[in-house]
Amino acid sequence: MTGSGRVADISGSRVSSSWMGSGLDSYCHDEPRGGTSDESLMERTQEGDKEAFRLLVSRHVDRVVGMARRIVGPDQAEDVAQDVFLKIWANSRQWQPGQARFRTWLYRVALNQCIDLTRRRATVPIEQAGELEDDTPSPEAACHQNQRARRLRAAIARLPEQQAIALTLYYNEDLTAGEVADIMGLRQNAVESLLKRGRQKLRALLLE
Amino acid sequence: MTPEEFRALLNIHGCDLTRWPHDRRQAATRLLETSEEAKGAFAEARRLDDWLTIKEPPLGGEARTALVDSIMDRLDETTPEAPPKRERRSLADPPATWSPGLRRQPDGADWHGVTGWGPATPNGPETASLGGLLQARAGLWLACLALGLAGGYGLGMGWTVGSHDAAGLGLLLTGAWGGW
Repeated sequence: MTGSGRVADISGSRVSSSWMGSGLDSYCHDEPRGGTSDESLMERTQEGDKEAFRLLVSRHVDRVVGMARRIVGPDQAEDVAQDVFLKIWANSRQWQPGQARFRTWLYRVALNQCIDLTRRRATVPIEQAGELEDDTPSPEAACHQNQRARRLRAAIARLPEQQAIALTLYYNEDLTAGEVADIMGLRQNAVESLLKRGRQKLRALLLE
Repeated sequence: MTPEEFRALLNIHGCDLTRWPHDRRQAATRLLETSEEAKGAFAEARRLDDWLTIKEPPLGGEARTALVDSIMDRLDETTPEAPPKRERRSLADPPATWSPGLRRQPDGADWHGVTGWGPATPNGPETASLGGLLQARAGLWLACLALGLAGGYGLGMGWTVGSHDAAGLGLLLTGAWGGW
């Protein structure tokens, strides 16, 4: 994948009011209604509460792995997830409640970890680069849905980086264009343009 | 809503009308009921949506537990960092580092940016300090300019050449002094 990564401002000042109260709340299906919120778990994490952090990891690890699979590929997705959560732990005291929602922060850290990895990989000499993913069905691909997910992943991997990220956040993570814009540090119309161009390319890759 | 607008929104947001801009949903629904062109575009877009909405399968139970345990086991390798102090920068401070495509956000997480303006990454290579350099240079240059103008006009009063020429000379000298 190519293209430049993007910045997001952790202050969340560009977060539009349209999603502050609803979008990500409804997304977090792992969080029990009336249960401990991410933010309160994060506050406990800031005090060094490992159990609270374990709960956060358990709640979001699938999300981070899923996102990483789409952006960096399945082989390194779990490594990315480890690094993301270790970064969250190491920098937990720098997260400030009220400035950014935990999940926005998590997505940004995950996204940048993915971008770091894709850039490092881009500089690996070709003789050191790993094999390209072939079409041989893996054990994981035994299931039809997994096969389709694998094919989609391969198609997304052929998109420019920013298009791949926008599509992943919008469709796999079910975020709104406004939320994606906030995480990527872009204007919403820029994200919409990425979605449009990404869809056009994917249509050519998957349907034609 | 025209079929063209419908198609444009469809190409951005896909077939799930609940994800369309709120103020366009009703018009889109109405158009879908009446326009064959819109129905065709919708059916075509649905084929792509069927792909795009495929979710990544969750980790299996054992793999998930192992990953969570592995993360928790490694926590002691990292020491939580204190939040950075937000102090005013002065010219005496080391300049911010300009590293295209990468910057570290105040929260300590690595962020990437188009501009790349931001403080230096602790482990990053020493890169050209363009941001800080420009700030420092700008202050120095303004000071030199003021001195040069004052000196140039002062000298010009006693010289046979016009004061504007002397001011120009002063600017040239201060420019050279400032390293430009």
